[in-house]
Amino acid sequence: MDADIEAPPGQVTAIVGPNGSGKSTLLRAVAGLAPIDRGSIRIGDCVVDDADGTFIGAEDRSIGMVFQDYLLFPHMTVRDNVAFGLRARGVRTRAARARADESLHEFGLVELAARRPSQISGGQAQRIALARALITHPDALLLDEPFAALDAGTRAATRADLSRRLSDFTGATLLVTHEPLEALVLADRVVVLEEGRVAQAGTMAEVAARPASAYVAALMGVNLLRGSAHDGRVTLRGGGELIVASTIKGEVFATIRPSAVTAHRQRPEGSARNAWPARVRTVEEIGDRVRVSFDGQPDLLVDLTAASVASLALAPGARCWLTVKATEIDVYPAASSPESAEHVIRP
Amino acid sequence: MHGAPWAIVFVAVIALAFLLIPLAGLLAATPWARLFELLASDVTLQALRLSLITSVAATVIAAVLGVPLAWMLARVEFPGRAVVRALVLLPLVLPPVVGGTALLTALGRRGIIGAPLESLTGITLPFSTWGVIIAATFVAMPFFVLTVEGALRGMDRRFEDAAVTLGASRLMVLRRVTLPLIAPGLLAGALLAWARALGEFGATITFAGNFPGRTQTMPLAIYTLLETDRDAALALSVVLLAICVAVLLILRDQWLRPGAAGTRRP
Repeated sequence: MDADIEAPPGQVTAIVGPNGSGKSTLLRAVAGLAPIDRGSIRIGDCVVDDADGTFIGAEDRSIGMVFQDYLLFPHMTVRDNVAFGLRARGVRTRAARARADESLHEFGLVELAARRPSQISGGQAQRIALARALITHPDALLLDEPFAALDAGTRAATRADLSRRLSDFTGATLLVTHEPLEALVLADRVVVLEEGRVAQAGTMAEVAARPASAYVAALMGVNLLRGSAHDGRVTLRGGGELIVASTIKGEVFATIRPSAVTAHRQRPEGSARNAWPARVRTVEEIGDRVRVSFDGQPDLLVDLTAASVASLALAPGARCWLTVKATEIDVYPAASSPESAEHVIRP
Repeated sequence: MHGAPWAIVFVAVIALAFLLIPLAGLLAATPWARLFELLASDVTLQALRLSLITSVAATVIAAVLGVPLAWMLARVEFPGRAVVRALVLLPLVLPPVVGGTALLTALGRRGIIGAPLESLTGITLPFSTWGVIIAATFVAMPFFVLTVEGALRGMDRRFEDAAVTLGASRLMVLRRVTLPLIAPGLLAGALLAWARALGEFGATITFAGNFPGRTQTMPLAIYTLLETDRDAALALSVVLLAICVAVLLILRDQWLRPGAAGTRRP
């Protein structure tokens, strides 16, 4: 693990990355559940962990954490769960319960106060876990895959609710997720972790526009190609060449949105300056579109309408021509990017 | 039964009969009509009372001392942990009479602890009710420690993580989260320990002797009464048997099985 990450107060920083990239390790280190061997962690003005020997335990850090499956204490009522952080700080039972009820009221959950965690829904459990984490007004809020335990229907509703709560929170929020949509809706900034390192960081728009690795491109649902640029052309590593509207030179990434590509039965004439033959590998329905993955030079993911898939008879193995306008291809230097990003990305 | 070779079924039935026939014999010989009258005699009432007091006291001591020991075994990596666990197991397999002899040599009036204890406080443990409690605790504690250690290992430790991130000290985590979550394990351990303490004979008679009203618990009373009042011995035996059956039934119940609250789902 080797990552330099800053999460400003009042903002939500999403940490995304594939399994094993170190997201959970990072969160546990910030929480104080696992010490670090190198570097240091600061929360607010307080250095909580430093390889030179400083280590403040989780119980003395100004943090709140929402775990993946919420971990509400099953033997306590919802009220006592929310009051737990106050009790741990020496607040008397009665006062702590009163504050917990206030907090539950703000969350619109006060009618659940006397219930046990086994008697509430997943979405309610998530909001109670958040209320429990926030009742001590921590400097940092750590959210570990807060939607992973919910079904798709509940997710949308709780996402909106969480988004509202987070905008009221004045501390720094770290949100670990593998869902780009969650990061998009909830986060101000995104940090992409790969193999324990920061692969990319920035606003969602920046990262989505110019992914710096195969993983990020897949996450954002764009095609990422690597090659070398010269005289308005990019010679791709995997074979093939693209005409681009850029005078950049040297090693570059080129991204093509799946919706920027069109498919034709015959070699097209016209303004699209990039055209190459390809063969359908897979066809998959995504909402109201159809995502087709093509083998060719280069390989590409393409989003088409169901009508055009039908009219072109695009079944696996079918052949056609793909075209992309030069202006639809975004080209940017591949300065210090992982080697893995050299081919079409298949989410 | 289908597919089981008849030879195996035959031997299995013999084994079952071997276990059940003595109990059936006991129940058949029990003077049921006079049961309460027999149990109401001074000697048996004293034995019942003493057994109840000493077994409960031993269970409480085993629990108070056993929780930290079980927690250490389950949670802390320390050198020699495997050896310590083996030593905790020892009273389970040690002949109780050897345990009683060991207690006598350590806590007796000339023992390494018993001698200074007597010269400093005037307290002598052997052949006293406290001696009974100590002997019972000695044999019962391993049941409690092992059961609770298993419960601690089986529980979902992330609840403890959650409590720590909420600011709870280690002791508060233990008191408000860990122990409530392993309550079924604590109860099972306490029941097993109590049943073992209730039935304790060898270590008790060796270390505490067999004095009615002071150290004569139910098992000792049964042993003594077999010589003089066989029916009273049978009545007491039936009481102990009934208690053991009750303990087994409680332990079998769903709420004492793993999978209750706080254990990690597979």
